[in-house]
Amino acid sequence: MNIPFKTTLRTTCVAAAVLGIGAVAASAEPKTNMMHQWAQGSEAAAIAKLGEMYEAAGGKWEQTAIAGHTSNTLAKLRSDVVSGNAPAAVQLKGPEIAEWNATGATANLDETAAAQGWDDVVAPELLTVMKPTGSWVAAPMNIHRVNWMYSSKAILDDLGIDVPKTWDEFNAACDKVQAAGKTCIAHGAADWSDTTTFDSVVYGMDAELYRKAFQEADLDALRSDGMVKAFAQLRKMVGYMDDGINGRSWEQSMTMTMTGEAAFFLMGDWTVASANLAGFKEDMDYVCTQAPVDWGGTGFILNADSVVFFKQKDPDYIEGQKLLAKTIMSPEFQVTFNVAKGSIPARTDVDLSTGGFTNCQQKSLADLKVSVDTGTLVRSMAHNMTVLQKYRGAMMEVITEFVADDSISPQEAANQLADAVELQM
Amino acid sequence: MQSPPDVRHPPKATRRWADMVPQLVLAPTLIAALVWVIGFSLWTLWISVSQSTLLPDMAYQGFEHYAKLWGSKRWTVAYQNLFIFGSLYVVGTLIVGTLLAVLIDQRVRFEGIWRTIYLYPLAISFIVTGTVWRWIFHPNTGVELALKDMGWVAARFDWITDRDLALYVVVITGIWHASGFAMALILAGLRSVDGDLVKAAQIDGASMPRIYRRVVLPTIWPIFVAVAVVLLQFAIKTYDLVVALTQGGPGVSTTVPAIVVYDLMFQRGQIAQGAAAAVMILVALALVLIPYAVWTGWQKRKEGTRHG
Repeated sequence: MNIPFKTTLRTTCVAAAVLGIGAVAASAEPKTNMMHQWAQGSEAAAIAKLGEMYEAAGGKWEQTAIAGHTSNTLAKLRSDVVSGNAPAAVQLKGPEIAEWNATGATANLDETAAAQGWDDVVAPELLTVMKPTGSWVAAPMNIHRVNWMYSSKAILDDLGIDVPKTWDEFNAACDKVQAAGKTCIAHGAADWSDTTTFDSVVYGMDAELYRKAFQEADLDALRSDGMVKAFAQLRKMVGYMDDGINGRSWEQSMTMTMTGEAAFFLMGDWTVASANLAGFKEDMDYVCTQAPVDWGGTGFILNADSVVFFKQKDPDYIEGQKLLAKTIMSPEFQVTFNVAKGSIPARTDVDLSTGGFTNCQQKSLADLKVSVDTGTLVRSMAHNMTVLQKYRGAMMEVITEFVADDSISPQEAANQLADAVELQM
Repeated sequence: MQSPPDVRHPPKATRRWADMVPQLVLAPTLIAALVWVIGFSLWTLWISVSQSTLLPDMAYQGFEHYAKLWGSKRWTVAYQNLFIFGSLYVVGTLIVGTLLAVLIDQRVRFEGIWRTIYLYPLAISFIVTGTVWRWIFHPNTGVELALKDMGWVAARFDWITDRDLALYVVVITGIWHASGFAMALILAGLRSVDGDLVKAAQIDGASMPRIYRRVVLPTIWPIFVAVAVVLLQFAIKTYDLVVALTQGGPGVSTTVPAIVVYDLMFQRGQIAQGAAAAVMILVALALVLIPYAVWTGWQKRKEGTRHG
């Protein structure tokens, strides 16, 4: 990237000199190259839309799509940063934003943010993530809700069960479903999906414990009686799953609930996009409600995708970053992108009643607002929005082992959880 | 001082040149090997005791990354799995490969077809192998479902979801994948054995199984060693097979070290601890290869004294 940079500069200088304007005052032409992992399907289409909007706004759009797991993107990013060649914009999330910010390689977006008034429209829980040290370094693209529960309409109607609102009601419903010979919880075991379920369990039983344990990695909270109870509930829920959970993908589990093979499915709202794409209808095949909570309010576990900007030398790219940040935060883009992804805009001031949002998505926004007002909003540990990856990884290992091995008692699991985190400190 | 060209020994310079050519040709490979193998091994070793986290940082920190690594259950399980999987996989593949080779060696009809069939698994990538065998082993899609559909309702074949047996699923799949390769090499070895040896043994009245066991197979032992070494490094770098087959699960029961290294380095931003894990894999390899090297050296010396 050094060579084109020099060439551009030289060309600009020559052009400027020829025109007699003076060497430095050439105005920049906004350019960007965004690195992301959305290489296929509706997500790739959504990103293509971002490119179109960017070009329409006068920028020159380039992208580097890296397929597969996030770690592939991280590996490329790492080698680019080490070789002094940091990309202009990268899709990164959660504590990774703070980690990269700490390396000093990220750019500062405060000027753009102030001009656009981001502080007023972005969900408050996201501010600490996007501004790790008080300055904006990332622009949020969406808000996913993790604590959704999808219920099979057919099974609920057949057995005359109401959608459970607390974990006790949930267990009672499961007993009924099992007595009727059906699977109660559709699940595909993997570290992230086991932890997604556990996110909802801990949060639903005690939101304050969730904050302490999963957002602050507090060792006493991880070892506490509340955590032991949460593990006991998880053990119970593993019993409500069938014996084919290992090696099943989350899409397969989703289908089990949609087709009435299993009663409930606990998963984030990307399910909505996939289910609708597969031809299932909300309120016909499935009902979406928040995962049970014992404290009677409206809860929201949040997960958000975002774009981080890295320091550039070329004025064209610096100008390009400002334009990209502006485009990403524009209500138009937030609508187009999130209709496709099943999530809701990261700005809370967008009207979802138009533009093709489903009922589940609209409910998501309404619940988000309530949870902001009542102070129940939290970030998802399972989806890498809270603690550093090393703590999250250690926790996920314990949780997924607990799901797989029923000889581990809830008491042991809580101790192992705390020990595993302490080891990484 | 210019000396006059030596007329009587014109080939001398040429000969020296001729001596140098092979060395020159080999030099780039040698340098590359030195840089890649030794250079990067040392670099990894240093990183494993450095302060690296998200990015490499050369400042010294100490051996605490090793302590943390060995404190984590996932790593101890993975390291243990490496030894269990590695030995069962190498031994199992050799046994199955030898059996197949001996059977094909019986001048069966359509030998070429059989050979191709058995060699085919090697042409299939680990990802595809793992995915297909996952379907076969999974109770909801594979053998168990087929048996149930045939009317045996109580059928159970759920090794892959059983944390104590899942590792053997990986071993079986690995053996299926590699035994054709072992067969091909061993078969070539069997064909190279002098037919007179076999005939002499037959005249002495030995049975065919006995001839194979006492005469034919012992003469081709270097082939077994070669196959075992190749398989061993397949075993140590196993990654994609496990990822496709079990994703390291149930829980962490089938995790292998390569998965842990990848996770630590690329997913969790713990480059130093990942490097420590990589060094431990090297140690595992050394545990096997150093005794082997010592043994071959000793063997050579013995042969040398016998012939000298």
